[in-house]
Order: sequence, then structure tokens, then C-alpha cells
Amino acid sequence: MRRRREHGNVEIAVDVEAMKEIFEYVGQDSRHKNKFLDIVAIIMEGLHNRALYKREDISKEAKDVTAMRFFVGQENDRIYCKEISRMDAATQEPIKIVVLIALHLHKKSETLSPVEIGIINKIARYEYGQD
Amino acid sequence: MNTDRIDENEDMAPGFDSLFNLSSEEEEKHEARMIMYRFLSEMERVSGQKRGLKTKLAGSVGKSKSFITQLFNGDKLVSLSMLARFQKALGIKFKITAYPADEFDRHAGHQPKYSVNFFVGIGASSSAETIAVSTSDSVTQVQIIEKADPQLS
Repeated sequence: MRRRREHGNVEIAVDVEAMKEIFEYVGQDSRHKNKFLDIVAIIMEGLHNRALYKREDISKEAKDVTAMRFFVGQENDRIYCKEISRMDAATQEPIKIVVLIALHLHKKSETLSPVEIGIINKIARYEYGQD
Repeated sequence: MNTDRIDENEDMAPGFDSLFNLSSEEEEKHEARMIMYRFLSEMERVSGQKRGLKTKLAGSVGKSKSFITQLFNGDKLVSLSMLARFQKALGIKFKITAYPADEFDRHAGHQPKYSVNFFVGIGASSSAETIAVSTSDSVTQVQIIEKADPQLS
């Protein structure tokens, strides 16, 4: 899935392996849907809001891994993402693509657990190709 | 064109398009939160603080950190008087710029509504396919991409 902006340089994508799980999560009710749309809009507009979308740069390798943060202090769910880029063929401008990769429910503590560090490190090694 | 792929992906994401269909009431609330997020984004940007901004704001405006967190989370809407307090706390002034709605994308980079494309990563193929489906509002594309190292999937 990719959302793209008419005049912008940011796109939102979803890895096919997590697509069903992520769509079911964000579409489960209006509360989740509205939070998802807020976060997507924040990313597309390039706004700063670490409460809802933040970089999980725990290492040099993971510098492009980010997290959509759902209901911090409540369910504390995450969708871990990776920011990649491509060159727009028409404009020759770089396009940033935020790929949604892993849904992680009920993050337990403020700090990252070994489980979360594992997810982030795994995503850090992902590479996406595109013709 | 691989229509089987389209069907497969549609099955995998039932009702996805409806995510972006907001009622007028939902849209109004979403827009209200976006206006608030633009103010909060500027506060976060100028403060340059990765951590501690909420605590600083809470102490400066006489509110709890939880209250500030609810604003950043979009669970409450900020009032103009609270924005005035934030200005004072951070030593800043907000400057507002308005654009015609149809020019906002160009200036602020906002995504046109209902312009939804599908972007699909698979590990097996090294080729990419693009399938464009025109709708009244947008063009929907299904693209097959691959992870460079299938072992990582």
C-alpha cells in the first residue's frame, strides 16, 4: 500500500507480509482508524511529534527505523517502520518512503525490551528494491 | 497485468479504502487535531529537545505532564489561551500562514484525500509490476517489490 502526495516527497507503504495484520489493526474501530490517519497525516506533512511518530535509532544500522506510536500510556501499541528513499522518475527528486513493517502490541515499558530491540534490529537489515 | 495479484491483495486488505472515508464530523475533528499538531510541531522543533519538553511545558504552564501528553497524543485539543502560555514558556511567537485549500499540498505537503496506492513487498521476485487502476478521485497502483535479502523476511 502506498499513499503519495501530489506535490510532496513522502510516501507511505506497507510490507505485504504485515499488510493484513496492520490493516486489521488500524481498521478495527474508529479510535484506531483516527489515530492511524493522524499519524499518517503528520508524516506526510513532515510535522514533528515524537509522541506519535519517532525514530528508533538505537544504533547506526537502525538509524532509519521509526515507530508509529498508538495509545502511549494505554495499550502502548507500535507499528515499526523503515524509511527508505527512491528517485522520482518524473521530477528526479528524491522521495522518502515510510514502509510499515511490523505490528507490535502492548509494549510493556518505557524503555525498549529485548523483544523490541530484536524487531528494530531485524527491520534495520531489511532492504527493499523497486524497478 | 496480473489480476490475480490484485484480487489477492484486495482480499488481504478488506475495507482498507474505507479507512480514508471520513464522515464530516470525523473530518472536522481530524482537521482540528491537525491544526493543533502544527502548533505542537513548531514547539517541538524550536525547543530542540528530544526529551523533557513535556515536563518543561507542564512545569511552566501549571499543568500535569499527563495533560501535555494528551495534547501531543491528540486526545485533547489545545486552547488558544494554552497556546499563549506555551509561547511564553518557550519564548516564542507563532506566525500563522494560510493558503487556499487547493494550494495547501504544494506549500505544506498535505496528502490529497483518498489518493490511495498499494505498495507490496514480496521476497520471491526481483521484478516489479505496476498495475494502475483509475478511480474518480485518484489512481490506485499495485506494485510488487522485493526485499533484497529474502532470508530477512
